[in-house]
Amino acid sequence: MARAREKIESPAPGAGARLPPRACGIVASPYEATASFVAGCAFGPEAIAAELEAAARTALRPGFAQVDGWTWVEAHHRSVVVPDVMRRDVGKWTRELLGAGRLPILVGGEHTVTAGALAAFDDASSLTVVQFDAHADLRQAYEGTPWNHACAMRRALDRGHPLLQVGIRSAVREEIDEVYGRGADGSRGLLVRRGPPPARLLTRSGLREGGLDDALRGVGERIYVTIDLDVLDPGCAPGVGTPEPDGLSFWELLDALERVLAGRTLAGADVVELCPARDDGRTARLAARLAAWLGTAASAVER
Amino acid sequence: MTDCFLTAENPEDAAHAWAVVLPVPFDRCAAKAPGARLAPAAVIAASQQVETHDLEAGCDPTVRGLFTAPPPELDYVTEDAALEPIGGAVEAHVGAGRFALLLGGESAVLAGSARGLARLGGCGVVRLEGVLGCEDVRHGLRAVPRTATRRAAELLPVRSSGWRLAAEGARAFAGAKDLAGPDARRLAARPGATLATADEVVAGLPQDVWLAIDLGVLDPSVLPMPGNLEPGGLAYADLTALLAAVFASRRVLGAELTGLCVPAGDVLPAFVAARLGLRVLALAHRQRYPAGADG
Repeated sequence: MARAREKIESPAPGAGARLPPRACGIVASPYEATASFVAGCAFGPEAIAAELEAAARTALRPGFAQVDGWTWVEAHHRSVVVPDVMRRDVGKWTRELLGAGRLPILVGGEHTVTAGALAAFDDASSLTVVQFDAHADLRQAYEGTPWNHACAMRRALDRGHPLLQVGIRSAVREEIDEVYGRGADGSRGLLVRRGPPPARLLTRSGLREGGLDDALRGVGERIYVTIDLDVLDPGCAPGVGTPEPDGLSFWELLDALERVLAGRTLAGADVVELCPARDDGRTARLAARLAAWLGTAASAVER
Repeated sequence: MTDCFLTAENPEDAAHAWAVVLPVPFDRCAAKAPGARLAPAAVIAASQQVETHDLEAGCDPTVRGLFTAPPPELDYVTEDAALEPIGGAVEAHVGAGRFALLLGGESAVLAGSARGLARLGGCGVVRLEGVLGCEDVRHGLRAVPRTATRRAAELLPVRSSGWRLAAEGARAFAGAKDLAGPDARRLAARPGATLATADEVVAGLPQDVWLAIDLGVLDPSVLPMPGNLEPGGLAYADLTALLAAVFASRRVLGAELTGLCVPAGDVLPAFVAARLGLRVLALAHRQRYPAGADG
């Protein structure tokens, strides 16, 4: 992380060939148009940038935060609230990074930004989206728009991405009925939709009771990981716009990520919904650690 | 902004609902910090952000009709005048067969709801609280949070669990009445711990129970609010697992969520209370309609 706050141009064509194969680029998307509870996630990327500088200086464990030489791209200005513009700009910079041989890590902004990054991947059916989140985010539309942050994973399904949802503890009945079938209730911990595209939802209780291995059955080799920070417990990550009790601890999330990545290739990732207005600094630091982990340690997970 | 808990609007009247939510802004002499009178409105406002399909209970308790009643008129001139409207509302709704969820208000609300329950012929009280509320008098008052469990126990069988503080006089009363269930240390899930069973939480209580939750039973990391500073409270998952076990072993007539003090500028405590309210209603709904169908 050389210059976090200023816009850094994408590498020149061909420059990627000289980079290590898993070198990382961060796309910042300070997009906030539909936050429904506490506003402020447009300031998330700025807070993560500051903490990435600190994270780069202090490795949590070997290989954890070697972020020197990363590229930081601000995809659009904070004032952008038009979803088409956000998706265009985030998609463009994600494609640039992929073309330069870099692993794209998107930092938000609200969860809607995931749609921008996914737009950069052409073959949706071969890229499984693995979502860590408190909320199912499967609504067809919410508050008058399909580009609400409560619809983020429904849009991923619309593109044809297989979906694995982990740690979910909040939903409305309609979205569960529509995606997983009428009467699916989650009380057994795991919901399964055969597809296409296929989807699985592992509830918070299901994860606590050891259901991740079952949920991972059949998940493809290439994955995109999206982490909504409200998957974590408000006790360790208070700085989110829609806090939900009974979340994961930091280590519980890392353990789950390692198991998800084992034997698979990370094609891209995002960390979203940081709301500095509710934070005392620890959630921003945690988000930076996650971004660093995804960009570096992810490639070191035993395959 | 709606005045309804979890829903955009009420059914026609309470008779068209399987459950009623009763805001009780009772704030007379809180042991920690004043402000409980603001909690019902804050919880109702936060509940508009709660997604109402409870994944773990497997149902949406709003579908069959959930009625949010107006707050009762509270008159603090005398203890009777303050408590009687609470007891009267509980008596009316529970007597009509509706599940009642009270949103306090300080935890002395139990002294009022116990009156109504006693008039209905009685039931047991599953009390969950951070401080064993079995003192006799405090500040010259008989119905305050530190005495509420004792007031209920004078009318009904009570079992109090989850507490992590208990004054000497409270312990003595609890011992004499044999109402002290497992404390927080025995209920908290942690490596190597011997967990108390749900049986201990309801031991000695009849089949029909009232669930009285003082939110101070939760750890400050879960419910950060003025006055809730004592370490060692229950984790959210500890509490919800305990609730599920209570519903599995007893018929729950109603519940109260009390003791919430809403800090300025922080949405989390009211939201946690709203989520917990959803869970209580969802467990009650599943108990009444075990087929699991929402509609």
